Amino acid sequence: MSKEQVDNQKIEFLEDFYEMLSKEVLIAYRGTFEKNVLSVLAKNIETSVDNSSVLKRKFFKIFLELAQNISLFSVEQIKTQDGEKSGAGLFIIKHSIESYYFISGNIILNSDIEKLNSKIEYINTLDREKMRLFRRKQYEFSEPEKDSSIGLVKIALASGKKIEITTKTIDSKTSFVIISVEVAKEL
Amino acid sequence: MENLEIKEKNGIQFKPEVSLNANTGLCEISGESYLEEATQFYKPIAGWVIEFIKTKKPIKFDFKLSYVNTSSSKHILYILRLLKEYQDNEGEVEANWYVESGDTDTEEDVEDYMIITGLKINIVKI
Repeated sequence: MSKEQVDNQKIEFLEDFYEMLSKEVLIAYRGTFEKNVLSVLAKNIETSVDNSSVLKRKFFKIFLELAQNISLFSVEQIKTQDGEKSGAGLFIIKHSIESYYFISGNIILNSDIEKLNSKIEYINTLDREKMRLFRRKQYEFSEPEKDSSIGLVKIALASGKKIEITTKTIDSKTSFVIISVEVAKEL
Repeated sequence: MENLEIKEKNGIQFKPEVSLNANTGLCEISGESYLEEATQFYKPIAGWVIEFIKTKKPIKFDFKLSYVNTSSSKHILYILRLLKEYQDNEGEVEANWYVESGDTDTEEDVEDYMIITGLKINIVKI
């Protein structure tokens, strides 16, 4: 596939992604997820939700875990002002009458897809207690800087719903991955 | 032995404030802990706790953390294990975790910390 074809495909995926947007979008962001950006986004998130501080806390958790995931696993690594590298991607919060939706998108290596898919598939089979048991075991054995398992469990526990994952192949090496979670407005 | 104080600088978010008092044994970690360099941040804190335990004085640890990222959790667990070990060796330990009323996610996090470390942590609802 030529570079132009790959670029066109990337644009197509981005268009797909933006199609998911509707009038009810609260936040849409594309770029790196370095510390300074995170604090600005987190503040915006806090002010974009209603007054429930418990809900704000959930928003904060889900946002930071998804952002961390992008920062660690995105193929698009961009050098920040501090000279550090940070993964880039997309992040959207939208809402319907009953729920809020958190959507993250980034490019990942095809070799990482299977691992990510099976992790999410596994977490989605667990009830709350089993999820917590799984997380406790992960605390003992996993390396959080390289493994997304604990972060994904935290997202699932905070949302109380299943995590959805969609991937689209870009080329032989990379794919675009979209992770979305729903949080009910009435807790 | 000296006190250890880490204060938020220039409004940088996600770095907790730390106050460890060597005279009174009153310790507090508060704020949000979203750290990429968690080891660098928590190492002196764990080091301080290890030294303080040698004094055999009572220790009271107040955690007022509303968000702890995964890298930070590992270090918090290490500190809790140190406190549990001290308690098992006749040390006087009180651990409290302040949780916003209704925040069941954080309550579950703290319960899991208790299961993992065996240390009793009082959940204080605010």
